[in-house]
Amino acid sequence: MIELEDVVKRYDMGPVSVRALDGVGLRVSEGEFVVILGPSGSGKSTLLNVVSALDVPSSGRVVVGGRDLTRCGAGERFAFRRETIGFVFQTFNLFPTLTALENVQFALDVRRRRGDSRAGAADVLERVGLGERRRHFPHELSGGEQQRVAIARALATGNPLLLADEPTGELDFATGVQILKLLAAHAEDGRTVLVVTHNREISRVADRVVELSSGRIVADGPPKGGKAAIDELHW
Amino acid sequence: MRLRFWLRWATRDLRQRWLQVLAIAAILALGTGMYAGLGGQEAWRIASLDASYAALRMYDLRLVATPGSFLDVEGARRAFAAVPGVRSVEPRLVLDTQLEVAGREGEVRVAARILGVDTDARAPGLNAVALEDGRGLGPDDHRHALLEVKFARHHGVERGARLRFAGGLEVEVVGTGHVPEHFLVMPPGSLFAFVAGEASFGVVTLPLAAAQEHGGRPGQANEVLFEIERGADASVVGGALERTAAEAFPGVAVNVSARSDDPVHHLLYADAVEDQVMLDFFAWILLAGAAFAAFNLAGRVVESQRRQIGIGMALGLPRPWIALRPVLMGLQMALIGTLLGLATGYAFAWLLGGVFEEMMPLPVWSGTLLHAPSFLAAAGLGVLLPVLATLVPVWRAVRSPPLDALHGHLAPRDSGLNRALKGLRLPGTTIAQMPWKNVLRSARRSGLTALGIAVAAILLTLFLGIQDTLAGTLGQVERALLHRGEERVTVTLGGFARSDHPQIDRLRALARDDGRPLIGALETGLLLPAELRAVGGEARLDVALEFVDPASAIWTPTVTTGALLPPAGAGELPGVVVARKLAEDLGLQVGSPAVLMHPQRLAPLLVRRAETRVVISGLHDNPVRALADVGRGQRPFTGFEDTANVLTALPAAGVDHATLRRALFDQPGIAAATPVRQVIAGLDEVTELFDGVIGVVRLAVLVLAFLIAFNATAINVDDRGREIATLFAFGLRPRTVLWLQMGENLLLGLLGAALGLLVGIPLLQYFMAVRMEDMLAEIGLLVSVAPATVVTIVLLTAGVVALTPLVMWGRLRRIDVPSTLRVME
Repeated sequence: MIELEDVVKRYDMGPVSVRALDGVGLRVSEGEFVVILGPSGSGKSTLLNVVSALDVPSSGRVVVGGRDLTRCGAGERFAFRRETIGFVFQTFNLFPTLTALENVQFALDVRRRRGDSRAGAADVLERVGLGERRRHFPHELSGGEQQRVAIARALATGNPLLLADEPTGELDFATGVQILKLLAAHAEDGRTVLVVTHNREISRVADRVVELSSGRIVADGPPKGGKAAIDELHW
Repeated sequence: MRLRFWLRWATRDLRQRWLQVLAIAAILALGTGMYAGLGGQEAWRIASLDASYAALRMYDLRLVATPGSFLDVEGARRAFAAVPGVRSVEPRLVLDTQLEVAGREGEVRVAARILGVDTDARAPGLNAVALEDGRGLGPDDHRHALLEVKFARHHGVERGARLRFAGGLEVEVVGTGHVPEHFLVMPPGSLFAFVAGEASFGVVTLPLAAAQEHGGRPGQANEVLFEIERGADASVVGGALERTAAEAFPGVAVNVSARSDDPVHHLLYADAVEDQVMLDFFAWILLAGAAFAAFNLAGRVVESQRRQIGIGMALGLPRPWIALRPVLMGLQMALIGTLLGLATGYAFAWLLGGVFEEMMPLPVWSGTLLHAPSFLAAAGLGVLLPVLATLVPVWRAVRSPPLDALHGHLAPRDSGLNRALKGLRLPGTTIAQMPWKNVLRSARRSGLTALGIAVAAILLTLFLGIQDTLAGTLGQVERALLHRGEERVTVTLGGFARSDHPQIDRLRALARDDGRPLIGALETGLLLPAELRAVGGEARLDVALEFVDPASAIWTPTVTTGALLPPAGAGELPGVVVARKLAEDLGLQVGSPAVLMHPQRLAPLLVRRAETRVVISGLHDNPVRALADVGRGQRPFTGFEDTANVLTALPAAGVDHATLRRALFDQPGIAAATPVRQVIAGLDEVTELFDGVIGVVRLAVLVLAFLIAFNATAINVDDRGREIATLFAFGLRPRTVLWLQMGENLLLGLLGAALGLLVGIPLLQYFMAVRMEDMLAEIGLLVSVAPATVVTIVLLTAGVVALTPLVMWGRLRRIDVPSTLRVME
């Protein structure tokens, strides 16, 4: 699903050049639940941006879903995100003037999926347990509810790759667990899930943990101590 | 904290938001600059008129002998020089005739006025001609002339051209220039005072002897100009002049008038004052609109910094220091706005001044249109507004809990009207619905932005509505005059003649070279200058009283109410058909009695001023107030039975106006031959000045609308950066986001246009009925806004606003999506 070959991302700020990614190589198969772990400034968000075609590497090759992103033009990158990626953000980034249902429906409208986008959105919202909150605006929802709407929006795209950037960062533990369960369930359905976090505890539920430090992969493998059940987590 | 630190921070703020600050400053500049530019029109024109009249030594008093009477020149000099208070005496001979000259586009044949003046070196030189080209007249000149400059320019007549007058006199043009009594050329007997006739009336200054020779009046004059001693009472001196004239010239009735009684002099000064009323009206609306928009937008810029305000509060910064950054930004807007306003004011004054100088050329233009007091007042407002605009949201911010500010809760907490319309299923996908929902998300913001745009639409409605009103009114004048006898020519006789005079028969018999008649039909007519008032009323209005044959084969007025002849029961009272405007202004209606003040002939050469009771027998369809018609059978009350001073001629089939006028040119006793179509063409000049002013202001109005929309869009892009980045993250292309923004702007533009029309049309009616009443008193305006104009206003306003996001295209494409998606600082 995802192939990175010797990817470097450099930010030149005057005389100073910062290597956010320094020769990263990575392969992720379909259906894997991968956690990208690392402290602040380790390059994990940059990695996510490169995989999602929100940013272009300074060198190296990035192939996602069979598409070489380093050879794509701007228009192709937009199409790639429409057709391949579902996003979950730390700060939810819901549209304030759309209800929960409409925020999810938006994803279907972007994909121009045939059929009744409203009914499809309602179905996905039901799956994340927010069927009764469909007519509420984001400011009328709790943080956890907003994040569940965001996940529903990402799920509704039906795209093969779901990227989550610190999805539990703004949430309390109990809510965070709910979110992780949704993400894990999505992976179990055969979709690829990449979660970026600095929270080591969360990495215990992944199939694989890729640890970054100073722009380099310093560890890549199953979680230490084996994969844990979500209910075993505590932070 | 040190002030230098804050100034440095404010400078960085300016660098980051320079485009928004500049745009808001530009809005202020537009409002203040135009207010200053429009505010100085009256003072500038009056100063220029004062200087122009002073430079040409226009007379203080003028004595005019009744038509057909003359004074001995030397006798007049002796008699009047002895009158106390008189400093200079200058007799002159004024003759109305016809003029023929080769113009740029062929032969020109028009009515003309000869001013025969003393060219002796010792002459006082009153009412001098301000030369634009060539030289003045000297004692050795005889068959030489100065031609009024506007006529010369219009027809391309240059120095060296030869003028030929009816009766055979030929002279050479040695110079062109401005004549003080004709700074505005108003042909005698023109339909209304405000129609200039520079193309159809030539004013020619000749040496007195040449004029006397042409008029067959050797040694005679019919006017005397006076300059009085400084400090002398003009009315006292005028009375003395009349008494002296009665003694020195018994049997010659005279009228003495002051400079201010000169119709052109009066009109130009009155126009300057009345035009200022109109311009002040527009200037206030523009300034108010600009102020409102700047206030709104500056406030929104500060609101977008609410999170930073919250951080300051959380860190315990004293409130005055919190307010300092936004206030400094407000001062930046104020300073830049004031400087730009000065430049805008100068530019606008230059443009508008050019329009006035083109339309009403004067020999001396004094000073500049830019009005310092207006500018200072507007600049003061321009400084105060941004500071207030930034203080208000800061005040709101510091009064709310810091956490609310940190979490951006200073913005409306809810989704605005979207909540109320939750159940409403808008058409299209969620993406297509976004423009609607964004407009509704903050009704207050959207409303304020639309109101700013509405100001532009209001101004467009006013300006274009004035154009439509004038066009519609003048169109009605045209229809009234041309509904029959479109090709008729009004032949003005040099004086009164019996209707059966042999000369009139000779005119009827005028033939072409091949013997075919030139004139298809000829009717005699009578046209008298008169005044009308209500019985017991004080107000008097001038009318041109035309005695009409109801059975005329050429033309009759259309009487829309009543009839040409008095109603039964009116007794012996003559009936007069008047314009609706005149009836309204005097409080009259059909059947009302009125008093007509008119010339009355008592004997062949004895004419006096008389008052006759009449009845308003009808209303005609011509908006021109001064036109009044009486059935010709009612002439006896004037003493001018069987008398004519005008003829109406219809060219024979196949004869054009030029041919007929050429044939009439050398006929004795004819002062002018004017096709009615030429009068209609003169009406176009009425709108030219408005068109010139409106053209300049319209551009400013559209720039204002653009700036308001640009600022609103820029602030939206800032405010919704994360939403836009999310759209990009989900794969929406930048051009799709641009379309969404344009759609939102289009909705705001349509709302603004609708509001503008809703307010603008009643405002136009108020303005035309109340403000323009004095300025265009001589015509009954038909206030209207054409459907095409409504469409134009909507398209222009909404179109400019809708297209504004295109300017943001580069900025949209350059949004750093990853950074924007994370927590915003």
